[in-house]
Amino acid sequence: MSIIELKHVNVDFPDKKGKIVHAVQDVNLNVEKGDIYGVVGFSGAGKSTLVRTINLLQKPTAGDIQVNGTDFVKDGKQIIANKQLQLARRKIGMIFQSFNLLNEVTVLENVSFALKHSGLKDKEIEEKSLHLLDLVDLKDKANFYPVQLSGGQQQRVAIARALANEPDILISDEATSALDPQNTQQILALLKKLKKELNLTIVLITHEMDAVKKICDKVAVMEQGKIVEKGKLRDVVLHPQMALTKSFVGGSIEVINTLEMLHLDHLNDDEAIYQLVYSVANVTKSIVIDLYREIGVEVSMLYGNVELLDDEPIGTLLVLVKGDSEKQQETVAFLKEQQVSLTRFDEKGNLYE
Amino acid sequence: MSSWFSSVFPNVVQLGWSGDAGWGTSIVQTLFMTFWSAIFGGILGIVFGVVLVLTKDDGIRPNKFWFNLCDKVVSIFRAIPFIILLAFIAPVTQKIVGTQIGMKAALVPLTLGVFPFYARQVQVALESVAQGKIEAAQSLGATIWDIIFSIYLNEARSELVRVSTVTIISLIGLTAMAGAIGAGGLGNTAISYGYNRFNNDVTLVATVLVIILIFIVQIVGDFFAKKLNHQSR
Repeated sequence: MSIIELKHVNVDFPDKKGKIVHAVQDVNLNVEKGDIYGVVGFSGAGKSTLVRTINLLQKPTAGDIQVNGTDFVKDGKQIIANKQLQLARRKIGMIFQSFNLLNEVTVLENVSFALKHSGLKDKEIEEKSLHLLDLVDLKDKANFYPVQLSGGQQQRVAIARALANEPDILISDEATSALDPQNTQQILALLKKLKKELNLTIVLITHEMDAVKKICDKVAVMEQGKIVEKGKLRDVVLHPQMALTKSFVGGSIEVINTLEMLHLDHLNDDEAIYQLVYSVANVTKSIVIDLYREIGVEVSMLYGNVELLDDEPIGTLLVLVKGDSEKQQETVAFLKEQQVSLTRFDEKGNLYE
Repeated sequence: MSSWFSSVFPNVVQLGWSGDAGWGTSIVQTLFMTFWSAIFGGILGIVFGVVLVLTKDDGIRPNKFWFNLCDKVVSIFRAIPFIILLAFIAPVTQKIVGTQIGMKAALVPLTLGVFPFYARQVQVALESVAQGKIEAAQSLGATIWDIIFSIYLNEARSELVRVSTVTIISLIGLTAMAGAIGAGGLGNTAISYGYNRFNNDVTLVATVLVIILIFIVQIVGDFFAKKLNHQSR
């Protein structure tokens, strides 16, 4: 059952010069209950605008929006009353890149703020807030002010606040983008844990494919307001259809870092860099050795990694293949036969044109 | 000491403490006018400031009519020089307090003179509250009153104290002019009993007293602005 259903959603707004910007164009998105749905894209792709339509922080210009069985928007018209929307929003938690905590009240009061209209007594609100802080491991910081906490801790407070009204859905708007890698890992692990414990559905926007790979089970790739590709994470990673998706899947930070580190300057005409992505279970033979034996190309390994996507081991190899153009073509054909998804890069980690 | 003081400041001593022209009387008058017009002007200023922020185009309740109305009222009253405002609204003052002269009559022009100045500063202070905090509150299903009181006014409180301090100081300046409609106060003492009678010692002491008053307001304001601020380390 879809818990979030967006149909033909468009968002237009005028820019500073009065020109109309199509921030989101004809987007269809179904999020099933229990999904961790990632929305990736470069900044300016319209990801934030899109997910803000889910709780109507952003009003769409056209399309239908249905959340948790309630129609929010039909044909671009808000059909839910503002008062009802207020109640519905309490069941859709949201966390932000800049945390957006209230600076002038304590951590505890930040969480209690969300429970102001819960009908609980003051004492119960305090107990529940403390319990929520315990859930994110920050009970001991209850009486601190947000500014006294680190970025990662502030985001955990924001998570506790977003979960206060026991929402079914949690929207994460670049929640880890302002954090260092270690804190990012912690927050992602926490989200994964909370999802299981609280039976949440999570929509996560990010520009980092690595974050998506870490916790999502489905992914949509956005470019210029449109969703260019969507599906199960495994399928999108293994068989990316669009150039942008390939660059995202391949453009993982490690690969780009590796190529930058190597300073390959110019590749010779008979050299090509490929990224190979494959399901480890499907590839039993050693591809690198086979390439040398059967086609006679020299293969140098630049980078290799195996990661678990939804519990399935997925390998990523970055290789430099040396051989004339005929042999290069044979190589590509051979790899495709082996169900290896490959993307050609130039020496700087950009897609090869 | 006291004989030295009365020889250097003869006219100051002559005015005495109590009585119509006494120092005590004029200090009380200045404090009375400052206090009450700060209360009335403060309430008006906050109401106008809040309405301006809520009804602007990207506010949480965009409304061109109310925004333009408040914006124009504030702009027009700010444009009128205070000494002219005193005379200009005298008939209104008459209606409200029943007289056109004296300390109470001065409260009407003082309030109207100070509130637009304050409203603009409240507007700027509230606009400094990050839009993200408003969005976060909305995403939690907060009501408009939650957003006004818990987010806008509370998050901007240190900035509000700071602009209130500036406003009260400029208000003390305005009360000095209220002497023109017989409201008394230290400003009136400096002009009527000092300057007009060539009693420079009276002008000097009145000035020093006003400066002390302003310093006290500034120090108290700075103290609370700092104490109430948890925005940055």
